[in-house]
This record gives sequence, C-alpha cells and structure tokens, in this order.
Amino acid sequence: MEKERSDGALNAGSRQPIMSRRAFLGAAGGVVAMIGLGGAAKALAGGQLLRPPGGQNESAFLARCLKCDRCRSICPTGVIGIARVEDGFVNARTPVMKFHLGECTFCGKCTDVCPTRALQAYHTRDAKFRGSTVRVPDVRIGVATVLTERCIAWNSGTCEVCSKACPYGAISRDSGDRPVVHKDLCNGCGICTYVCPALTARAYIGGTLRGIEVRTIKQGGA
Amino acid sequence: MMRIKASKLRALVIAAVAVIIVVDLVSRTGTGTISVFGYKKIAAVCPLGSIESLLASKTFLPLAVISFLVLLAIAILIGRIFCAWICPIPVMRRWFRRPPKSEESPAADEAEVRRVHAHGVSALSPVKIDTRHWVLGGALLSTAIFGFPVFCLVCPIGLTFGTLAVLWRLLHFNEPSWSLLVFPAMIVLELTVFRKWCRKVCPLGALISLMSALNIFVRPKVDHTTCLRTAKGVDCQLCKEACYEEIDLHHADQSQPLAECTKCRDCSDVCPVHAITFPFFQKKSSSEGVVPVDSVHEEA
Repeated sequence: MEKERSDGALNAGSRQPIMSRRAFLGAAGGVVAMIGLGGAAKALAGGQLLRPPGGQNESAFLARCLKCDRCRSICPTGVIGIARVEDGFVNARTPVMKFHLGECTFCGKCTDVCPTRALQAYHTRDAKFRGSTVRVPDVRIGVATVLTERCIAWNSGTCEVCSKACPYGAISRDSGDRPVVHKDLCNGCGICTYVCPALTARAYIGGTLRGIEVRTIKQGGA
Repeated sequence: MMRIKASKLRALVIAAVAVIIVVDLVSRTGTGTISVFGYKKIAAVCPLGSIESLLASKTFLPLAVISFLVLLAIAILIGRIFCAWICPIPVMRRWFRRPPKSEESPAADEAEVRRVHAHGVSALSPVKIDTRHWVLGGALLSTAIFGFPVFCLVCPIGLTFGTLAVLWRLLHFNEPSWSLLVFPAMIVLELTVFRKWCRKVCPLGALISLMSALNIFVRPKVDHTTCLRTAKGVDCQLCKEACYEEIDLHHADQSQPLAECTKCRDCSDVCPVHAITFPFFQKKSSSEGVVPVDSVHEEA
C-alpha cells in the first residue's frame, strides 16, 4: 500500500507506472493551488463596487468579467476606471465608475464591447427635460448621496451646481436651499459628483470625497 | 540576403501586438487586450477565459462560444502559434532564465543515430498529459466552484497589460495603486519560481495545444536527405536542443507531441543544413546557401 503510493498508481499487469511520483506531485500541486487560489480570493473578496451600467448584479458580473479592459478603453467620457488590488483581489483590474473623472451618459458602448455580457445590455428611452432630450435607462448604477458635512450648500453658503447639472431632475433644494436627492429619479449617472466643487472650493476639508457621491444601491439604501 | 532570425522576428511581432494594446490603453479605440481583442461586437476572447466565464456564470454566452469555436478552427489549421508569436511571456521568460547548465548529452549510439522513425513525430498520440493539464483542470474546477474566473487572477498575460494600464492611470490621472507593485511582483514570482512556466504550468498553453491536437498545417518537416542525422549519421541534436517544447523530430517515442509545436521556427533556424522547413517560410530557407558541413561538425 505504502509502496504503491510512493511509486504512483500501477498499471495492471505492467511495470510502467501511470504516473511518476514527480508527475503526481505536480498534478496534485496544480489542482490544489488552483482550488486554494479560488477559495482564498473568494474569502478576501472586497465589498460591492460601482460598476458600469449593466454590471449591477455583482456575482453575475464577477463570474463573467475577464478584465479585458475594453469597456474602460471605449468609454467616451472616461468615467470607467480600473479597480485596484486594495478593492479586493477578485476585483483588481475590473472596471469601476470614477465619477471624479466623468459622468455616464448611458451611451451603451461599454455593454456593446463586452463579449461575455458581464455588462448586460439595457434599454433607454428618450425623455424631454428642461428643453433638452435625455436618455433614461432602465438600469441604475447607484444612488447619489449628499455628504452633508462636505457639501458647500449644507455648510457655508449657496451652491446649486449639482441640482442644476442633474439631467433627470433628481436633485431639488429644500427650504434652506440645500440639495436633496430623490432616490427614485436618480440612476447614478454621477454628473453631480463630477461637477461638485466642494473639494476645490473647500480645499481645507481634505480627503478625496466631494459634497455628493454615488453609492451602490446596497450602500445607498434606496 | 540575410534572413531575420526567428527569435528576432517573434520579438518584433510580439512588440507590435504590445504597441497596439498600449495604443488602446491610452486612447479610446476599445480594441482591448489579449484577454479579449476585437472591434465593436466582433471579438476574439481568450479561449480559457471563454470557458471560465461559461463555467462561472453557468449561462450560455453566445459570443464566448462563437469565439471559442473560431479559435478552435484556427488552432486546427495553424496550430499553437499564439504561444510563440503573440504571448508576451516567452519574451519576459528569457529575462529570468538561469544560465544554462552544461548538460552532458548521453553517448550516441551509431545505430541509434541512424535509425529513422518511419512516421516521425506525427505518428505519436496527439496529447500527452502533464502538469499544465492538471493546472487547467484545477482552474476550471475552481472556477465552477467559486463562481469567477480563477486563473485570470494570476494570469501573467493579464497581469502584464494590467500593469501597463495601472501605470498609465498613474501617469495620466495621478491615480496611485498598490496594483502597480503587486502585479509585476506576481509576474516575477511566477517566472522565477517556475522558470519553465510555459512548459510546466501555463493552462492556456495546455488548452491551446489540446485545441491544436488535430492541427494539420504549418508543421515542421525534416528533409531526411539533407539532415545530418539521417543522411550522414552525425549525432546532431541541435533542433532537439533548440526546442523549448521538448519536441524531438527524430525520436517520436521521446518527444512531446507535435500539437505542442508553437511554430517558433527555432529548430529550423538552428539546423546547420536547413533540413527543417515550415510551410510559408519554405522559399526563404531554401534560397539561402547551405552552410558548409565542416563548420557543423565542430558544433555537433
């Protein structure tokens, strides 16, 4: 028994082992390493990230994304960035929305170039708002959330940059002229974050968050 | 006229591929990387990635399947060319190469030297299972269990272009990330711990050689009337020694199957009498003058 194991499994009636000990160790090592890698990566998975439109089902997204970089490359506004290893080993190199760099116009190019449907196709309809036509998608990237401790209007003065920029009329102002997000109208396009001047106008507040940030649906508590 | 050395030609082709990908990284062409390369909805998806995404999502993904079938047809037609002519890892592999040990070749038996296998290597079974196949199986099993493409996490090809992408993000957007250190460190680790990564570990190479099992064209052919070994009985082993894939065109029983041939052309290059030819390159090699046999004897 012991002998058989050390020599590798024996072929019935022949002197030739099916596999040398070295080959067996290599084979077992290869399989174990891959299972271990999958398990470790699963255990160390980071939290939910802001995905490009169509990638909101996180487990379906991670199952299909091959980290090919096509969606990031083709994005006309440059809002799609790359997740870092800090965001979780499984997430590294996957696309994430960087609303400090742009906003999503729901043009659909990223879903078009995704061959594995990690970004699933969605529909848009045209709607008139404030005299211009906007694309209203049937997906939501996330929900804008006012960070009241950073927002200019909530702290020191009047600012209506985000509410004026929102193409969906999802940001109104309360009695104190401070922005309030209507979660049912917001689809997380992120233009509010993109235009928010809180970081530049209030340089002393530090950090990298602006006065309004898009959160995932889970975090945003829609 | 001088013929470009195969290794140099390969490096040029790989560099050209890398340039196209870097252009895509810094512009908005959306052609992608080696993981998926394409134009708009037409794309070549990494065959391992295709299978992984199908297994992980447990859904039918038409583009992944179509791409796999097209790549399978290409593999059957021209074989495992990806590994020598597109993949950047063989170029990087050289940077981590140990200085070659002076290997003593076993004493040549005159009769053995002259023995020619009637069918050459092509008679051999098209598949020889080794570690790479087990890594492939493990990766696919793990992918099915955990629900995401597992090998992609450590794939040195993906990490290579991932590193370039992160580097570009740092330069363009001042967006620092540990990825910039972690990705190259993983590649270096992989290629130093497994100096024969391509031969011993790479599941993508294993998959492509499985797909090439029925490969019919672009196979190396030995002209037995000029080959020093078969025509003159010289114990010349240059082609066998040159082959990274451990293919021995003269000993089918000791050779890796011809499906492993990456069409790198190193054997053809190293042959002192130009007895080994590949289709499409035939003319060039035969138009060149034959090296005088005297100069060969010293080497062989």
